[in-house]
Amino acid sequence: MEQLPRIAPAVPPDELLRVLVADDEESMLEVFGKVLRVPYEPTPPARARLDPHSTSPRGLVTPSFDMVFCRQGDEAIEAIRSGLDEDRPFAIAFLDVIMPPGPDGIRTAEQIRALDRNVEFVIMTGAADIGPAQVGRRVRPPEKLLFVQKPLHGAEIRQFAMALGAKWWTERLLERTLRGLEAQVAEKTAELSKLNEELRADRDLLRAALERRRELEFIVNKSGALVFLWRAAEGWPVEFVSENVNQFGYTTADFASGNLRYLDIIHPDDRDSVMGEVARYEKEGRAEFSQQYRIVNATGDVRWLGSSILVRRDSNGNITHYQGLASDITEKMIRQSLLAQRQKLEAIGQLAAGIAHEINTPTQYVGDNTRFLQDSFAGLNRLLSKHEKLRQAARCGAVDPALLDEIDRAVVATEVDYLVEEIPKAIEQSLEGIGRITRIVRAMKEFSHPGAEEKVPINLNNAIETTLTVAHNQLKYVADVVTDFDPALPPVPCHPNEINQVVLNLLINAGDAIAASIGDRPGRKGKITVRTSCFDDCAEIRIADTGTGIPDKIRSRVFEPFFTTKEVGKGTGQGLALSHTIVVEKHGGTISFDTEPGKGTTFIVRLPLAGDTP
Amino acid sequence: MGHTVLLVDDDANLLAGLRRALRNEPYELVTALSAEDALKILHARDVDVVISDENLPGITGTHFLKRVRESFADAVRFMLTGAATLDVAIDAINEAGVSHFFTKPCQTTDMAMAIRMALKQKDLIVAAKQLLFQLRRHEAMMQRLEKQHPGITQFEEDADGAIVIGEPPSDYDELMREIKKHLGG
Repeated sequence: MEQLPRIAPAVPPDELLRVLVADDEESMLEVFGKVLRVPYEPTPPARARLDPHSTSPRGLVTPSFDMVFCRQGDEAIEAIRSGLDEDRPFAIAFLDVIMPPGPDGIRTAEQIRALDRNVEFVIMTGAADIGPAQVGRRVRPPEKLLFVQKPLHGAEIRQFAMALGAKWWTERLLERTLRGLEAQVAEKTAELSKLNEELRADRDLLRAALERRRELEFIVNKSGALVFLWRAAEGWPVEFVSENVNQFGYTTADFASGNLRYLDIIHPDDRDSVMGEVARYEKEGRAEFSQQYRIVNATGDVRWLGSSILVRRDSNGNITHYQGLASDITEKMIRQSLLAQRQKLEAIGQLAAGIAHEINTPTQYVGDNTRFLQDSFAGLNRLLSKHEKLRQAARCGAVDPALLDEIDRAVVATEVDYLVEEIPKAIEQSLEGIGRITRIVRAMKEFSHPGAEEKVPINLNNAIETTLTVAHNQLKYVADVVTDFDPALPPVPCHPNEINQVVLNLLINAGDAIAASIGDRPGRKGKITVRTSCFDDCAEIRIADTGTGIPDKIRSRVFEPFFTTKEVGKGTGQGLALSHTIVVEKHGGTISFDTEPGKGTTFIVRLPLAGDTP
Repeated sequence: MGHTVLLVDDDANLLAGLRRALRNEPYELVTALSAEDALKILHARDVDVVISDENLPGITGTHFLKRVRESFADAVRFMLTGAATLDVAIDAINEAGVSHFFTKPCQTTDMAMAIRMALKQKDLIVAAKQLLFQLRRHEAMMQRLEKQHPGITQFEEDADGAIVIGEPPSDYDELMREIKKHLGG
């Protein structure tokens, strides 16, 4: 059997449908009451008509109705109104046409329709009351209108009520369902539009991010600073590099292909030290670090690169990537080395007068002594020739006393006693002078030796001794220099000429500080103590003076470039700034000071002993 | 009367060398290792020439020579320095009034010559001062004689510029005695 679609339950399960009956005939109302209030016992054929799908005899039809009886049209209108107000609308209104003295059934239906657009009308007419066409015109809509000829039978009334009730209920159900569906649709629409909104926001964010990325790439590429991401694996394979790597003649594709790794572009001489430094920073657990090293560009030229690197770790703390920012600092390195050179010349220039004195004074007396020896030798030679005469005369056996007198006179004239006493002294002092000249010249040479690119392990004590020799004349009138060197100090890996320069700068500053503190009082001298020692895994140099000390307010500025307290022409304010650069940046050491105004200052330089130099 | 030359330098070897170089020069050579010692010597005896280094312990040579100029103006001042910069030279000349500026190393014979010249000049100045002094004495005497014997200092010259000596005055002998007395005979 073909099944019809089941739309909705035919009648409400637990609510009585309301039926209004308006008739001025009491007997008619009684019929309605009897028929519609009596529980309906479905007969099998009736049930089958009502519910064609039901095959089991379950009591699924509520046969009773909630009845309201009216004898006048006005009453009926009022009942409808209050039913609506109480939200208990009527399903069906049975209206008699003739209900004197009030409005007739048609009029009543018109007015009810104005209040209730759902109620089903059944207009009951007598034989010749009114034509169906007229009723149909006045009571709308036609599909909610039935009109029947009186008299009505009970069974007819029941069927009308059942059918119209089911229709009314189904419509309400449909209406409610529609309304529910509409609400659902509205809700779904709202949800969708919200999602849509979110999607759009996400898309905007993404677009903004892409835009931002484009901007950043633009900035990065214009800035000249390379952005690198490389994996912590053999040779450092590059996962990302900004396009401006083309400034070195490479392309991003070179790296993307994996043929070129980051380590490959680092200068071969610097690879070990760069990797060594990275290994050291890793061991120290540093999250970021900076390095300076050389790279070789695509055309084989060497450039200096300064890089700042951020370490990326996985959840286990293992390093996975290095994220880097690297820029070409070649010009800066050149400038710095020129500046260093200039500062060195300046420092030496400051010492020049002292060094000249140190050389010229011995030269003077070596010259004087040599001429003295020349003259003395001439005199002694003359005396010798007279003695030769005496020797020959003695050999012949006849010594003329006059000859002896002549020799006596010559001995006096030649000042032999004086010469015998003076000549050894003159020789000794000359040798001493030559020694002084040799020492200062050698020290100058060692001091200003241009030095190698790589750090070399040196005996720091000897290097400081050399620098002290160079600075000796500058310091000797203002201070006694005391040294306290640790003889067990291991070789210190460094750029010797740079460290010499640092020590010289500190010594000159110490001398200047003492000169300022003793002022014009002659004969007063300060003291400079130079001490070396091992401190942890560093070599430590302490240079202490008994000078003026550094006033509070300038303490933070002493390492600033161009900051000087010296009078114009005496210093350009580069000494300590450069010393700082040399110690901290180039050697990975530290430079600091303790100072007490009026008592003196101690500068402390620490250089790592375990250098990264192979 | 013998001359004295004072050498000041903080380097004993330099002083010894110069002493040898100048040993046969006609003056006494004294030396000092510091400005302090040098000033002691200057207070104790006459010094004709002071030769100083610029770098002295606790004081510059210029400063020291300036004090010599203030306290012992007659002493001729030289500078001998190894740190010969223009600034030092200018200060030495303008403030200390040095008459010679030698740079180390210098030819000691040049310095010896300069010392001799300075001493000779000093002698000349002394001699000139003595002559001036004598001249003043003579003028004073002449004025006194003219007062006592008007016309005695007048003389005539002939056409060739020769002094015309007339007859000796009657009191010639007495006059000569008086002149001899004035001249301190």
